[in-house]
Amino acid sequence: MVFVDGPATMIITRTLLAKELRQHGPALLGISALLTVAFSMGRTLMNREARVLSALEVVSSFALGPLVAAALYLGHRLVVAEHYGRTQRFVEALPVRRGHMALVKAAFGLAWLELWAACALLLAAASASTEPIGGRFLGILAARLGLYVFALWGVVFLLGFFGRLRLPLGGGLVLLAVLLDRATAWHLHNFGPLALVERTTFPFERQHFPAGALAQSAAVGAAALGIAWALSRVREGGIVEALARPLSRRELSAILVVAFGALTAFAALDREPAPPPYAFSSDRVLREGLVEIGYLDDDLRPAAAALSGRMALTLAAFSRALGVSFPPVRVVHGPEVPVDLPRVVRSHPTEGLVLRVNLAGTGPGAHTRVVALALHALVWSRSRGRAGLETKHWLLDGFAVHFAEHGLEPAPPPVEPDRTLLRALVATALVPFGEPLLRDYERTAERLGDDVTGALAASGWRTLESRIGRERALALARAALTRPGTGDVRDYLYERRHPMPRLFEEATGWAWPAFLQAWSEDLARLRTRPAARALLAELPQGQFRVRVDSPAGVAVEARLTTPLAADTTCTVRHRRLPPHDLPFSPETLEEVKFVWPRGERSLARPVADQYGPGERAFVALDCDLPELGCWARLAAERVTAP
Amino acid sequence: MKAIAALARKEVRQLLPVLVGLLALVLWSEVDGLLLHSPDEYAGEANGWLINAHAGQLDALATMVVGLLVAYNLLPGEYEQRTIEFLYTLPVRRRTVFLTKYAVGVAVLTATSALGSLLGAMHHALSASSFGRQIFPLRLQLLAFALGDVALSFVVVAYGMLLCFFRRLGWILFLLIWLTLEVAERLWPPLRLLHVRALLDVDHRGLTPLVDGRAWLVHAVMAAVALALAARFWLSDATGFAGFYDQLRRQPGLRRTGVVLGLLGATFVCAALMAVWSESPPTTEQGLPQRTLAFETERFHFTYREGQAEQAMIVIREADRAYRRVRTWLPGPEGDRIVADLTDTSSEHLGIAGWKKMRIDLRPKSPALLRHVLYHETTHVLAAQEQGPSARRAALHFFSEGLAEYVAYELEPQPAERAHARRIAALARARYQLRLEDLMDPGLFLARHDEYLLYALGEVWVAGLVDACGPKLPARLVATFGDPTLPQSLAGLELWRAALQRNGCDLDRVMSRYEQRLSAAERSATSVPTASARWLGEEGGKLRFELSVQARTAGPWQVTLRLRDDPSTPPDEVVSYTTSLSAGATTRLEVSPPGRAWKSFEVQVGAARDADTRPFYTRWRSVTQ
Repeated sequence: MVFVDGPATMIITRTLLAKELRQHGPALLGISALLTVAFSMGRTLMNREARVLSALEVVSSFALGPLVAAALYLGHRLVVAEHYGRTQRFVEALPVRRGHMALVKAAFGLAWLELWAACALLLAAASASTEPIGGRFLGILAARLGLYVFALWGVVFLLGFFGRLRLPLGGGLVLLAVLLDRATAWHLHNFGPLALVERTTFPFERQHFPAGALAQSAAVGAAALGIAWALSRVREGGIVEALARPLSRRELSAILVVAFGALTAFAALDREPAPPPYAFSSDRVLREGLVEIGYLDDDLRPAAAALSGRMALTLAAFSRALGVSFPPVRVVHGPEVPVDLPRVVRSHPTEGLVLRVNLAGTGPGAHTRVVALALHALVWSRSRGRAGLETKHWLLDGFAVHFAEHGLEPAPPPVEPDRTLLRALVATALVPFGEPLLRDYERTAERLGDDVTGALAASGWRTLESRIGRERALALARAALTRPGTGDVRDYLYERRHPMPRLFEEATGWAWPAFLQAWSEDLARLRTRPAARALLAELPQGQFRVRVDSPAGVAVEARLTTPLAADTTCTVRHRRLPPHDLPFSPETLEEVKFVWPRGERSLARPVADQYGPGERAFVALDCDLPELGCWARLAAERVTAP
Repeated sequence: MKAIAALARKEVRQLLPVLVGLLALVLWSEVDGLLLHSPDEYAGEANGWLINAHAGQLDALATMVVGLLVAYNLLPGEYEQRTIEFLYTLPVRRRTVFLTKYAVGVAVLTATSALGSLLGAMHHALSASSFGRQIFPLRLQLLAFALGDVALSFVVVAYGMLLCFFRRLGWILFLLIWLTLEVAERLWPPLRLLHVRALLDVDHRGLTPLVDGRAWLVHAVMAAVALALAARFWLSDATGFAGFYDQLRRQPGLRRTGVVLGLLGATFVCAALMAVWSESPPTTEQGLPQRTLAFETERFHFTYREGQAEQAMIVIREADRAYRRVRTWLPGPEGDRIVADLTDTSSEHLGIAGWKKMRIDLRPKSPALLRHVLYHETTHVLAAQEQGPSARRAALHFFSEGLAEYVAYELEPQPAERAHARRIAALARARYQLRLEDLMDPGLFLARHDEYLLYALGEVWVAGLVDACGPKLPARLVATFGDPTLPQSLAGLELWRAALQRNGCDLDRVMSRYEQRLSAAERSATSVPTASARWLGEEGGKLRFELSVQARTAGPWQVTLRLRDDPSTPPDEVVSYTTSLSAGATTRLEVSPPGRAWKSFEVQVGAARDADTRPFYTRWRSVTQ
């Protein structure tokens, strides 16, 4: 074949351009119509938006949306369809170099896209009547947009030469960019082409050419076009020719398998990033063993020291009892945290715990509550939440509360009611004791509140320990609570093989129903003790309910059988619920405190102006029991506001 | 009958690649749900369009795309390869062939959707939580199956059968229709019914989902029409529309005519849109000269309307001083001139700012307020320059606004306004148990609360930062948040902890100061008037409310009632009604429902001394009629 040079090249170029124009002209006009509509729609939508800083922002959106779609379509028509349809062979029969043809196609597509980018820019600039748009600013905008289009077209054009591999390759590139963006300090939105049309800077940078991003974009575009040009020439275009057919089913399957495997591997590896190391920057910190307490205020140092000493000892004993080692526990003073509701800020199996606690709390059992929370959270995070599954949550709660109170000391048998057992009796006075309380433990905790529920669970541990001995009870705790969680199907399979009743029987040698029976008997016996009778007599007795009726709305209502003997501080706790029922954190409950005066027999307390008709809400009435250092939840319901 | 059965089997085989693709997606999701996570800890237990308001919109769109794929695999290929002619030789009517294809398409889509639903039900059954096991009762599963799996398949495959007649152009038509509906809905919200996503968009009364029957009716009719048209097009002979379409595709002359007609159509659409977007001055400005003037200072380039020159000068005279003073809080190299567009008119903000630019609404306001806005927006501009484009903008929104408020109040003291803002913050914090983490997710926060709370609480937070670690900390934090080496995976409190640790400060100390300030402000928060709105019902297309104010003094107070459809309502579509009311008195207000409202809408109410004072707004409450 004879190739022509010199002036004839111009003629050939023109001829090729005319051929492209004839072949793709109507399609280009059609796309132009669509781009015009898309631009107008974008402009109209932007005009409706209240928070648009510049009319030129539409160009940025246009460049990242419709223009990319147009480039993909054009790339398909100019390169892919030509090779797939084998019409390329007719053109190759002409006395023209392959590289020349590729360059003409590249130039044709680029010119058309640049033309459209320029149109969009000019249209937007014309409509930006209150923007000072000078020559330099327009130059910067044009350079940014022009080189963005150059890079975009370069990549699209190059991908077209990969024929059937273009989509997997494109997908792979995007995935790689996203991974780099997530895992390294390199960020996609700061890189070349995307940085050029970044909506937060594109319409506003009036003085400086973003040299780095411009150079990167030029390099990307030039490199991509260069590779495309080279590909079109390698082995006389044999590679491109070989790639130019649709994927066979086998190839498609292989690609899907690879993609599927890569996604699975990525999902498996990317599940649990470790949090950054925690460090106190203040010098108001006490350290003892695994415990660090940041008290922030010198007045709180004694309270911090007392808690630190107790917590360090208990943690060490807890670790020995369960035969596992735990990560550090850090406690930070939080003045805003309710004394009865310390919070877990961070819980990680290796990085440890961070608790936010109000160290100013001096009420009875304040430290026990914090220590119990720490023990609970340590086990929870070690097992990745498995120790807190509903079937065994009572055991975790009971063991944590019990250990926080008694440590490794042998607990007194449940003969005379102490504070924890009295709380447990309050629980059974509010809801009848039975297996469903443990089976639906999440509902029990919601109904009774955390303190009373924890005490009820701890009373079960006391029964257990008194009947089978400490060692066997600890064996149960070790079997049920210490397995490190894996966070995947292995946890589930383990649970299936070791359901709680069987695990209980294996560790304790005691049948689950027999234990429940014994527990129930212990509680019944305790209820007859004078101290218990005295306390339960002070508990408001009567009917309590959450009322929903129109027009009063949502309210808590109580009718007592006997009037209150003393003023009682009560709290209405409530929160909005989604239109489905799942457990929620008690921290999210809103509170309205009030005093229920002595001598009163009834109470009607509306939750005013909080819930609109049809909204779901959880509403509870909690009244303080000062001698127990906690409150009793007299009523609790999930309701729909009328 | 045998022929039809054979035909159906053949269609199923034809759809096998689509079926395999869909099953691969299901398989992938199950590998993730059953193997990579413990199956009894189902993370998606609260997912599902029937148990979440407005969560099904994406599902509907995805099903629409799959429906199109199914239709494209059923018909165009048969016509391209002329295999349809073999089918027409079977002893069944052409219409039966067409309907069989449609039925098989619907059946395949229904089967894959139902498989997904079934696996979802299995996940719920495996849940280790008693709540999780009961969250999706059988009646809801049946409803989800009947509507989301079966009925939706009938609709989307019918649309697909029509669109695929236009071959590749059909995809473009789909995109065009979708875009048009997006724009149309924004221009006239009731048109949302025409969008396929309206089908799975439900409101709730308690736990009961309220499916939009109007949308289903509209789409049932449209799907029937689409199916009839598709049958007409696909089954017509060479003289019918199919013949015309084939000629259009093959004959360049006709194709050119088509392109010209398309261009004319596009021009018409664009002209209509231009008419919509051309702005007219707001009513308060009518009669004032609208010519745009420019003014340059050392640090700013201003544009303003001639009729607002007086207010503009208040801002312009202060501008360079404001720049220098804000620079003391946010030191950095002297940048370019800031472009300040003073022609902004908005019912929902006083100003906005970003990279080297700000917009301020000059309509009659006090000079002090205008100066405050200038300082606020200048802070934003300088902070944006220091931080650069950041992927964390949303999570740091409260910090960004808080910093701007803090600096503005520090430099242009307005003690009464600042104290009022802090009281609002404290009141909201106490009343709604707002935690710091809540501020870090603006999407969730704004779904329930007034946006101004982000400003007020953010200002207290920045005050806490300064109290705990000195006045240079905010500027250093701005730089840290823009630092690309700060891991992208960090979010929420961990992000703050890491950023503060880099600057030698302690999150817990800052939180402590923040809480102390809020507690101090809470003591005087009872002086903030609060309003309430009781829903009385609907009458004659109007929503009726009873408004009241609780305040220490009688007033009168400006009570503002705000309505929106749902949390996705754009800020400019929130409608407000203001009335004057004395404390303890009540008044009735009749207002029009928000644009898209069907069974539910949301309402909030606030009271303030006058129009220039910020009200304390209640949370958004949902009202289901």
